[in-house]
Amino acid sequence: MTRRHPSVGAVRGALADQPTMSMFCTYQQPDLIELFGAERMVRLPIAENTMLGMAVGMALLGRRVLVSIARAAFLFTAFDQLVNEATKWRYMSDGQFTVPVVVRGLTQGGEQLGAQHEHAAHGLLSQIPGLVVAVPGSPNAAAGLLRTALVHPDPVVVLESPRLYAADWASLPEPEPTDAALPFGVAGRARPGRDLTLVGIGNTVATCLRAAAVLDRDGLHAQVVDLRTAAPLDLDGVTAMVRTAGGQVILVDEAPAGVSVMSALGLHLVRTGAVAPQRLDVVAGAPVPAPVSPPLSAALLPDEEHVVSAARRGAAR
Amino acid sequence: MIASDAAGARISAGAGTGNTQTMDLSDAYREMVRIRVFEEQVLACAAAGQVPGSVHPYTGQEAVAVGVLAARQPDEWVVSFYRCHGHALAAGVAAAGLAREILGRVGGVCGGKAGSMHIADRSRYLLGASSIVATQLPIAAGAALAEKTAGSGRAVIAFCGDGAFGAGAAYETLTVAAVLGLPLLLVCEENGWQDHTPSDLVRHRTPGETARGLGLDCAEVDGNDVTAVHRAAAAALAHCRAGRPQVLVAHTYLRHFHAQLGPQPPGEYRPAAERERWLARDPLTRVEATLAGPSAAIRKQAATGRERAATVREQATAELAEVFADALAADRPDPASAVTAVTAATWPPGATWPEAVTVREPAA
Repeated sequence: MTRRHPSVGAVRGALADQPTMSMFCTYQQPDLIELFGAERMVRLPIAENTMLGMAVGMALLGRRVLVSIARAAFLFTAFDQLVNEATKWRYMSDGQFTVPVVVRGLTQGGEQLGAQHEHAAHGLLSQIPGLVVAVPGSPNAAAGLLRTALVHPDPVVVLESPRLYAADWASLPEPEPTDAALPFGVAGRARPGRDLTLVGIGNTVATCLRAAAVLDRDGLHAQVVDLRTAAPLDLDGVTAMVRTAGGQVILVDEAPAGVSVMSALGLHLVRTGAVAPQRLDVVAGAPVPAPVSPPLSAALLPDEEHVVSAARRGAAR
Repeated sequence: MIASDAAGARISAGAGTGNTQTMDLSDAYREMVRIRVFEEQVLACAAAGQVPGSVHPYTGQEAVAVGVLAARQPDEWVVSFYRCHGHALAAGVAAAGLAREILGRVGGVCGGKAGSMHIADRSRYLLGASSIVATQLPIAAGAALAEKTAGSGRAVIAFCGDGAFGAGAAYETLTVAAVLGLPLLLVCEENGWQDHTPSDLVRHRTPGETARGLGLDCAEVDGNDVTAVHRAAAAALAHCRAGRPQVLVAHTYLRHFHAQLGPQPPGEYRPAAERERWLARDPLTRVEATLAGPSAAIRKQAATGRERAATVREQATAELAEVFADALAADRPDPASAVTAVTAATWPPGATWPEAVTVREPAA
């Protein structure tokens, strides 16, 4: 008996609650058609730009659209509609219109699909004013953030790690106790700990939890923070959580570290005095496109060993 | 290439499918003159350095907006693009709110956030205007899908220029519109130019050929003849409302070329002969000739037609002179409103506006 993924319930619940909600897809799921009708499960050609533009137009008339774009990297084909239309129409009309569009896309890791299919885009998308960028770190968080996204009046991109939907998804470390709706811009404490703080987002939340389990055996008790949304970014909430543990912080991200969510967070933590600059570390993905061969992709992404060694290095300072 | 006669015959063959919209030529003329005078005022303000940003005047194309929108039901959505003042006025947007928006003054229809190129007015079913070529097409198709899904029986009208047919979004949108049977009327204002480039240099098919090649119904009409435009739009809308998307290509021309940015007059690089040929076919003059002419339907107006034309222009000039004087005397928007209407999400304190960013008073 397999447990149904929590996000399935989130989507079905929203479709049941909102008769004016539609789903845009290039593949129609037979069970959803049976439940909600082919008219609401709109099958479109593989034309992401127009698909997203149509979602904007439908949403402007007050009908919510969930766009399943398959791979988050395909969103780049629709970037004009996302950046120039979906997120700006409310502002340009001075609030006369809202655009309740939710876009779901898979990011990277574990599928070996290569550079054009795998991309952790949360840092890039977090630069778009007003766009909510949700990056669930667990199956329950995926459901919780989807529930909030599907009642939100403005565009939301939900970036989901393929790991959250792999066959063994139920074996992932699961910090959240329920699949209740999770608010945007509020980071969660995935694990308590008094000696240091590990901050993860998306894929790296599980990495941090595994690293924390290893560090426990050293007598280092790490709390793990799940950012949950790259935008809004819960700077003050993370700062408050960091202050409850010993003054060492490791920010862990699969996206490159350059101009990133973690660099913004790190700056804030230092400016507010929550961490001394020399006790702050970033463990991040390499600025390299995703290769296909497993040992190559593994070499580019942070794993728990990277986090554990960073923690040990920091503890020795 | 004008094919109004042939196209007109095709259109009337399709008429009689329930369309009851009629257009009063005098009303249409009044609206066209208002758009003309409004745009002349905007250009005067631009020349005086009073318009922030750019202006894409609609002068010369008034018959398209007025003729098409006279055929819509008042609750049918309109989607426009950066050359949107004419569409906005013809859709019923208040001249005062539009002028204040373009001039960046308080009381603008979009609070100063739209300026000239992105006008939206929910109260007039103007869904908005996009300043990126062809991006408004999928959005209009989505709105049409919303109407279809709601079973409203209403069409959505989208305007574009002929340059939009160079963009992939046009092909994608027309394909989807045909597949889904969307109630979408796409009106292409074919003025022969895309920015600095004559359209014929960068395409091997006209918009009409493209639309027909994609399997859509497409009528072509003399876009400077408001009666012909109206008749074609009314017939096309009847089909749209029944779930058959339509393309209407209106052949027209701009009196004031493409765009004006800052107080310098816009450049003119179109051939003089081409320009003169089109300016002689000005849509306003043609209605004036009809109103003053011997047509049986308006014979009683014939004697006073010319005077009426002068009166209509005087009235529009007086009305809009006051509107623009009032707008120019109005305050500029409160800088604090620059950060409103971005999103409903609660952006937590500290993440919203970094302390280093301050909202400054714009230069007077």
